[in-house]
Amino acid sequence: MSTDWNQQINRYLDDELTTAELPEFQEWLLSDENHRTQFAEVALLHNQLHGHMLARTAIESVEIQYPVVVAKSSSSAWWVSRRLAPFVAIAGTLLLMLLFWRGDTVVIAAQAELEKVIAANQLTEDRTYVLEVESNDLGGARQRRRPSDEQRPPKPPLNGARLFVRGNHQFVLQRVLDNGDTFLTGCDGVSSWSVPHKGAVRVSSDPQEFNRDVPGHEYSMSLCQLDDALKQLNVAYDIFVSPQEPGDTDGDEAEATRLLVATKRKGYRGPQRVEITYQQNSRLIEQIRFIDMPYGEDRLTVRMSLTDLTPLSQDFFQHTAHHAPERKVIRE
Amino acid sequence: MDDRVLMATKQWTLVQPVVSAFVGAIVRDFAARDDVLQEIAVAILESYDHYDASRPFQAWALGIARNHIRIYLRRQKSDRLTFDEKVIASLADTFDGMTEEARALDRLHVCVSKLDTKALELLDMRYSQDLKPAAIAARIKSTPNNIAKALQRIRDVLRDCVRKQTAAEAYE
Repeated sequence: MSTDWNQQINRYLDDELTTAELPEFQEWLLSDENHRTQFAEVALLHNQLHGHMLARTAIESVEIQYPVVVAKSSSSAWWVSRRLAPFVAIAGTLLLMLLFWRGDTVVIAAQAELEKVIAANQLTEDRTYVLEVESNDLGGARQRRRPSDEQRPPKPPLNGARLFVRGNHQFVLQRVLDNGDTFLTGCDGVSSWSVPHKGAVRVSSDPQEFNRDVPGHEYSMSLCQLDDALKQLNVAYDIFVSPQEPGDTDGDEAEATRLLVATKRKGYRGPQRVEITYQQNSRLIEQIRFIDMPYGEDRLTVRMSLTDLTPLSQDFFQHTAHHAPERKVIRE
Repeated sequence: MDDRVLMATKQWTLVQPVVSAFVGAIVRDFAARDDVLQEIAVAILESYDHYDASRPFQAWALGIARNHIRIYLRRQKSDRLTFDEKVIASLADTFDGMTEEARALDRLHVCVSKLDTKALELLDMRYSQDLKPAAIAARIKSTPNNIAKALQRIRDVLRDCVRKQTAAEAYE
């Protein structure tokens, strides 16, 4: 009876192979490069499954302990326990750190570090960022080829825009048009809305509706949903983190920062590179650069800088806080 | 920031999945594998000055990994299934050519999410709880042989799924 070598590979990795079987198994491996490739493929999967299942178990155990309820249709039903969420995030992070960061090591566990950065930023309630467009490769070739009457109207400019964020689902993006008028879009976690300088206010029950003209939306990296965008880095990007700086000795009050750089892997969509500068101790994100980011037919390099942590009013993320009560409201 | 450390870290991050799988193929105990990997990472940072940048980093890292596996095996004589040095050297060369296969496993989460509950429970016991087939069999009243075959089938399904995902994305 011929030997089932795929079975032998699996038995070896599961520690089921006997010492009597080992010499023949080694001979088989040495006899042909294709055999070793077959072995390496299963070993790669085996190795990856270990990390994947550990992470999955860690996340599930946190979710079971602290269920997070999100409902889209009713403002009373939609709540994320904002008091619990930071603790859930930290518990999950610590769990992952325990699993992946074994003992004192100088190895930079980049993905675990990113999880810590995400968790730390969930601790901060309201954040205000200023957006700066560093470079803008306007209109793709297709857009330029179109007759002028078929070209899409320009999107409201991002440069100089202010982005107010609460949690992962509430935002207000304030852009200033070329004529000086202000154009607001936002989401209160249940519905999204737009408030132009003049004309009707539009409100949609789809929380994503007015997120669609924000860069990154189409590949789960919306600038307005930073937590989701950062989590996407762990999926589609290779990450590395600069080493921790030694303690401050010169009396400089500014906290040391670290740089996390994520480079997009082949086969995924999104900015080519994302650079995150964050405070070494608090892990508060000071700045994010999205480099070479697809935006419709354009490609942008956008810098988001944290400017304020002052708490905003409770209703700030509702459209009613940004227009007069008599304004016409169209519900979509 | 030290450019040298930054570059070493970046390169290590890129090759780590392949090196980790290579080490795991020889050092099958997950905890021991992680310890060896840490030693390799430290050695890479410490000896980065000796790295010839004109040569592939992954092959260099796999060479360091081979040395540390050798040291580990010398210390740890209880492992009854240990490959000869010749096999380990051949496997290092093979793993050096597996970068694309390692990258393809980025789709693994999609394939795992398609598995049924029973398969997920088996994977959980094998990988999260680090139980061998005999221990799993004792827990769910089966035989080690049946569990080993079930694990093999799940891995076959996952490999097939990852291949299809990769092919579909390449087609798109």
